[in-house]
Amino acid sequence: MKTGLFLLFSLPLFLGFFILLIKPAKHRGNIALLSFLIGLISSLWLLVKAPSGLTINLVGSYDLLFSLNSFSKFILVFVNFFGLIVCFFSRGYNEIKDNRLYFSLLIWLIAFSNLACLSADFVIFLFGWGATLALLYALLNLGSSVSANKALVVVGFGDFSLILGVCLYIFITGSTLMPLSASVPLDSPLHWLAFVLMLIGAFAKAGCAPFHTWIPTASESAPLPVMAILPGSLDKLLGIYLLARVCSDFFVLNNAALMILLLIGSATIMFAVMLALIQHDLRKLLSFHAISQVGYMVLGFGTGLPIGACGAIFHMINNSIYKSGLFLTGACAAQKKNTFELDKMGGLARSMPVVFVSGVVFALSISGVPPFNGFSSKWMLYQGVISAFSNASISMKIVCILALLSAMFGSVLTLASFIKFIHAIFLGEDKKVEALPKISATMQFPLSVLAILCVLLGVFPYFFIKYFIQPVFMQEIMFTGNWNSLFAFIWIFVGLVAGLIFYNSREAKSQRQDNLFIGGEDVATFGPSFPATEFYKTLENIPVLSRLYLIFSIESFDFYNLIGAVLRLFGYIIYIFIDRVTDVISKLPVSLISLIGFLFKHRSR
Amino acid sequence: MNALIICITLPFLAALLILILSKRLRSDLLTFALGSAFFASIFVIFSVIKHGQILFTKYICAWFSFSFIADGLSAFMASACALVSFLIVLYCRENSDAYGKRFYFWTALLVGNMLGLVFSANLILMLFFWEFASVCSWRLIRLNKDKESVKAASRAFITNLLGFFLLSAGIILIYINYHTLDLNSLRGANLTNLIAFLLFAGIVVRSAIFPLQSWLVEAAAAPTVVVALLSAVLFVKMGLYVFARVFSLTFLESALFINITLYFSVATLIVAAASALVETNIKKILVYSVISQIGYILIEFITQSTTSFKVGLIYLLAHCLAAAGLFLCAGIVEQKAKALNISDPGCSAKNFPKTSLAFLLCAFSVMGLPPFIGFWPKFFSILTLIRSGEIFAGVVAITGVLFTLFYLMRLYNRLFLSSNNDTLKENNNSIMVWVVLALGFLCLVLGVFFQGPFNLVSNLIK
Repeated sequence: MKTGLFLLFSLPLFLGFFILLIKPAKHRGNIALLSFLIGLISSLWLLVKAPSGLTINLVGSYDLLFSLNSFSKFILVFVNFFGLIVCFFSRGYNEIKDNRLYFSLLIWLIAFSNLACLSADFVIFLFGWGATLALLYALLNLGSSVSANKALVVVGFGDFSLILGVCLYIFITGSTLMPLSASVPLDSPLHWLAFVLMLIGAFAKAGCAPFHTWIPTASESAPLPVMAILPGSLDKLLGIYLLARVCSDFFVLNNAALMILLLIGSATIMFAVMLALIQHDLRKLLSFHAISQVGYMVLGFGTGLPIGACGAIFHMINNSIYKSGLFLTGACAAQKKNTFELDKMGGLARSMPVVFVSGVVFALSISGVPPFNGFSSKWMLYQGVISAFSNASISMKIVCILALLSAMFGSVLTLASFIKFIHAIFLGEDKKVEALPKISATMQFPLSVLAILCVLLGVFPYFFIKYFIQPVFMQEIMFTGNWNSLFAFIWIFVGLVAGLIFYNSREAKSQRQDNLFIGGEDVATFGPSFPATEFYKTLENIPVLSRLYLIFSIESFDFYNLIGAVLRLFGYIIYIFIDRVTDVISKLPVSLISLIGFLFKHRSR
Repeated sequence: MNALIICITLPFLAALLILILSKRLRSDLLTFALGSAFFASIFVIFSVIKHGQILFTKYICAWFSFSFIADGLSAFMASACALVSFLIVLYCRENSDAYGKRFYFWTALLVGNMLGLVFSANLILMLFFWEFASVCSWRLIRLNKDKESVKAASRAFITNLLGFFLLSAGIILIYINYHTLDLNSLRGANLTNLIAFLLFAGIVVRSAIFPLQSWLVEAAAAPTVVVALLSAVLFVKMGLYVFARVFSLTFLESALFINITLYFSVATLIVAAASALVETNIKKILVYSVISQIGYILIEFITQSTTSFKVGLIYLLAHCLAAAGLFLCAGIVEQKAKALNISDPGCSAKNFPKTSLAFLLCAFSVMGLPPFIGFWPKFFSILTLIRSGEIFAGVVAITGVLFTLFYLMRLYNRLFLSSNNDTLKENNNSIMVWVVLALGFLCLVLGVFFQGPFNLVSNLIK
């Protein structure tokens, strides 16, 4: 354990400082890469070898315990994996590759996340967890300070709620250790308070509604690799890790808590995906999808069944893979075109085929199209919701139906908006003729790794579940509807090949060109292609929806502004009615004495 | 022993010499004196770790003795204060002409009184040093001699005089009850509620605890460096030190006293934090922030356990560093952009990269964000509250943290992000900037390598 702690925390910490001191920018990225490689290897080593715990006395009665369980072990591997992928990619990304601070911040971010995963007691967990917030601020600050402030405040609110929740939990159980099996039932207001506060912490980190608003704001200015590592993968890993611990290890959930989770999950899915549909900025589109996917994970825990929770954890991993992949795809496209507007892109498929193919894989995965990984985890989630439905009370049944509907409908809408994404970036006509900057192999390689993982996890999901996710749960996971992914994959593949052959043979035989007839209007006004975003603008014009979109685009609805306004109100009340009043009262003796002095002075004259 | 005497007498000697010496040597002399006082206090720390506490007593009469004690608490406190005041004096060197003879003289005296108070083991001696310090702070606040600061200074002095009467009443009652004022012989005695509340009232007045916090807020009319010295490092911290020394280490108090002081500290932290969000004067916001942090520190000292006492010491150190850093950053902005209110345009973070970085580091530490040093004690103080069953107080304390997050980010936004003025540039190689950076990085480094300070405190306090 001591070696693990050194390799995963202390060494990266020092390497981060070391990188700050060296001059050539190129070496910074290489050393960071080395550090992540060490991290990945040592986390794999920890996965295989079960190390014993390590206790360090902090002060007096507070001990810090480092230890791994089957869940944190595997989160640790993925934390380091995504660090490695994003670091590999960033070495080629123009916007940040020469930044002095970037690689150090990235290393520290992973180091503190490792610390949070390695800890088995709340104190050190909160330390690592909160430190990632400070680093989130620093990384977003590379883009703009204003959005970084917003993220700091919203996620900071979550973190401080978590701290309070943890303190309450320690008060309830009397121990600072993170329990490994649930023991606290939700039967008193105090327990509920602790539960809700911890949920807020997990939600704010993972970006679940209503604590999601910082993600779209941050995406407007932050470099895309930063978005890929933070809201894309790391925050999901940590946030859902905490959520899983809260739901399965800390508290025994009852029906009411499950219903709350289901409702929040389905609301997040629908809300975010509807907003994503109308985005025409690459970064905002992706960030709204990053929010909507969290809804699925929350939904999985809301079923309260092992299969749902297992599906949620699987979905977390899958989502991190394709979501960071999508952000990186977006980064490639943006670097190529030097813009983030979907309308101004197009036709990039020919000039960067690797990125195109992986982009399509990610897009199909996120939309839950078989045989990619997004489908296999969503399939488990659907099964979880259906099983929860089968033996539940009436109110729970209604909520389950709602959840199932929003999950499926959300999937459809995701597909709809990713058709726009793929079409706008890769298909259609290339609008610029000038020579485009090249996308280097260092940027393509991580993308293809992620895409291959998407396919592998989609085709062989049971292998992954059996060896990675199953050990987290003590009990066997029951699959109600079985689905042979390999078989489906082969058929889909055969179908694709057959279609390709058919298309090619037809094309070779006969091609007929005709003049378009469009009611006598000039053909040129329509141009050779149409912008992909055009179709989705109809949505904004539908009467009810347009009103809703207007409401949600108002700033004051934002959680950030809401909490600011509430605090300011309290601030004014306390300031005027307490602080100023005590000021006046405490001034009284002073004014009395000066009055006496004044009178005395005049008498002596 | 020698180090102890050097530590106390050097600042007083420096004050005398400042009166005689020429203009140019003043700041050199004060820097040297405080620097050596700091090193002397480090020596004291080492010898305390090695040999346990050092005692020096010379009785003059039954109620008065020159008794000095160097134990873990006093050595730690002295070195923390000496370090930060040394850094502040270093900061003043950049434009030392701006500060006159009186500034150096009274600052040296204030530091001397602080160190004297920290090492003294007799209640009367303590009171003497403390009262003299309040005279120093009175003169320092009215340094500018404008109307506002003179008014604030006399208010501070009169309020502190009230504290003096309360304290002396308490001390007289202690003498009547126990026939000694030596803290070592009083150790473990039970304190009646009346005396305890009299002494606590004195501390309330002097450390600007709710409901008597506003004299310190008004004292923000003084020059920034003076406000930093008074509120972040020296004068206000004296009250906390006396609380730790008298209530935590010497006497045993009733449960009633502990409960009531706990409510006072919780009220202090929330009222000051909420007011800081509303206040518009930059220095006043920072003073409110200091007051609110004092509430958190008191929670640690009030709870009668060794662990939370140690954590409280870490909090004192963390707060000295971070609050001084914030004040000095605000001082740089004030000097460059002439910004007094948050509505005034400040300096843009682009042109002041080091200053804004230092401000952020210190602000994060004050907020209690990991991995900064401020996280540990703040987390433990909230945990302490909740563990003693005060769940409402815990909720209030976390709300206070939220307020802190908001008002410090608001301040940062207004100071460093509101202006696009490109004519203002950070001075290259300026001592001021290096000092604030040093304070900021100390907050960060001590927090990341948290075992260092915790081990030190564990070794010092047995």
